[in-house]
Amino acid sequence: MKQNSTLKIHGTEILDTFAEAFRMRCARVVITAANERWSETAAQTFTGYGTSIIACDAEAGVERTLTSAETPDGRPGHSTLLFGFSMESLGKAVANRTGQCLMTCPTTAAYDGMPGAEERVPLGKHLRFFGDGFQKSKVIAGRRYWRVPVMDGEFLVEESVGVVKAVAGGNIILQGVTPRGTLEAAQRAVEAIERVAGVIAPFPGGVVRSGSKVGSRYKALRASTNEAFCPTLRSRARQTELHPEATCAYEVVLDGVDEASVRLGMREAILAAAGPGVPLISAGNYGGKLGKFLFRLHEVLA
Amino acid sequence: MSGWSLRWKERPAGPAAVIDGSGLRPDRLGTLAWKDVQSAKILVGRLERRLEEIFEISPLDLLEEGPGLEVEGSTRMVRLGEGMAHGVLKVRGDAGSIQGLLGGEVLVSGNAGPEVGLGQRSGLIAVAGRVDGFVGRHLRAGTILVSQGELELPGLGMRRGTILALGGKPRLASGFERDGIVCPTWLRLLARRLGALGFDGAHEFNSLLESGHPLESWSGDHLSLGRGEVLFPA
Repeated sequence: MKQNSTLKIHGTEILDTFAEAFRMRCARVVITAANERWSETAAQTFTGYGTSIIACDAEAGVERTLTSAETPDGRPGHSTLLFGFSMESLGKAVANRTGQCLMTCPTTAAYDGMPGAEERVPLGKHLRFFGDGFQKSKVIAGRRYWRVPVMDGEFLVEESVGVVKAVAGGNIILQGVTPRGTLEAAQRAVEAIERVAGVIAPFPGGVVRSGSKVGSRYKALRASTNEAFCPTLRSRARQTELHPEATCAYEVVLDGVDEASVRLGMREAILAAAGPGVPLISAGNYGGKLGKFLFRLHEVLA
Repeated sequence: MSGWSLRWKERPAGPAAVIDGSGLRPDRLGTLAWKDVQSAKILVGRLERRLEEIFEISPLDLLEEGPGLEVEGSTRMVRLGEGMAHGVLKVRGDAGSIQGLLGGEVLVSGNAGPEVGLGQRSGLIAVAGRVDGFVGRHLRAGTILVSQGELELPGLGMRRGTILALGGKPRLASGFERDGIVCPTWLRLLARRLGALGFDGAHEFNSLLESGHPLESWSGDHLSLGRGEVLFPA
């Protein structure tokens, strides 16, 4: 890894390296329910098992909690973002997840959170068939909604959702002197990302502990543990990338609706995580040859 | 949003003759240039008149999207909304009849005459006051909302669509059957839309929904397709 200059924030060295991110497609689904509890349940379930596109149908997360005044129907809600490599795969993931996690969940409704997007994937257009001929539709303010009869009344779902070209795979890797201090720094980073619009951190609680590298000594595996960041392999790894003082490292991965939001998310995450007990913050990349977007840490902080 | 506001030249309520409201389509007039709107034709009694002879015309920038038209109404203004496919038509005051809507939104701040929504195929008609009998006769689809009064035989022969009778339990024909108590989420979208359009009955409608007041739902007309619904406060 190239190291041209030294940058320190609150005593934390920011390595002169870059995060390598990819072009993905993104849909925003706004979920509402009778109260916050059910909206939260729906949003968490809807975005569950959506950590990495390597083995999930989509990368998904809750963008933010919405107040009643911010939702289309005036009920409590959550804004969620889902990322996929193609329109087709993303559309399938959104429809499947809506069918299994929102239509099934008491009182929910699902709306398009990107009504201005030119590209669209069907949602209610497919799910309506669950209504077995009893479904009805309404056009309100030029947007079509499907009313699917269910046991607590109707599941209201928008006909289609907008899709935009987005950026996935922004990241930072932070290294700490103690496991507890490192975890707290990672939590600060995730809390900072939660305040940035248009960005999600799709891993559990926003944090990854199993940073990976491409390939494996086992032919069947496409990815395997990144020994360069494993504290238990400091002596066995070909080249450790851990700071001499570090005993623990966490990665925070970000997906955003555009480059600017990922850049801002990374910046806020670094600023929040940096501090005593965190000697080094770096980022994960593949040498810059695979991803379309390279976010240099020093540049996002500039 | 582009559009025009039309006010009677003859105060207070326009010509004494019947006015053919089908000439007042927002999807036709809303996007026209000033000169073309002035010279657009409208039937008044048996005579074809230029719009500028009947109305004071001024630009409108009240509504949020699509072509719009805001007209001063009259009980002599008939066939409003006929053939209209999109856009917003706001009637200040009363309307004679509203029928044949293919899409878009017609909002009436006063009362309306008989057979509101006759043969409507899509779109929304909302009347802040009362209507005469037989609202939604032969309704194909779409939504009709009436804020006040008890409706007399709504939805006769309706196939699909929704009639919202907010003034109380209507007198329903034999082709309607009670489904039960409902609180549909889509009505909240409708209430917000009506609020955004400045519909006079929007606030009361929204309050009714926010209070959690249940609505009674009847389906019909079962002598026709029977996929329509009449809703009113339980």
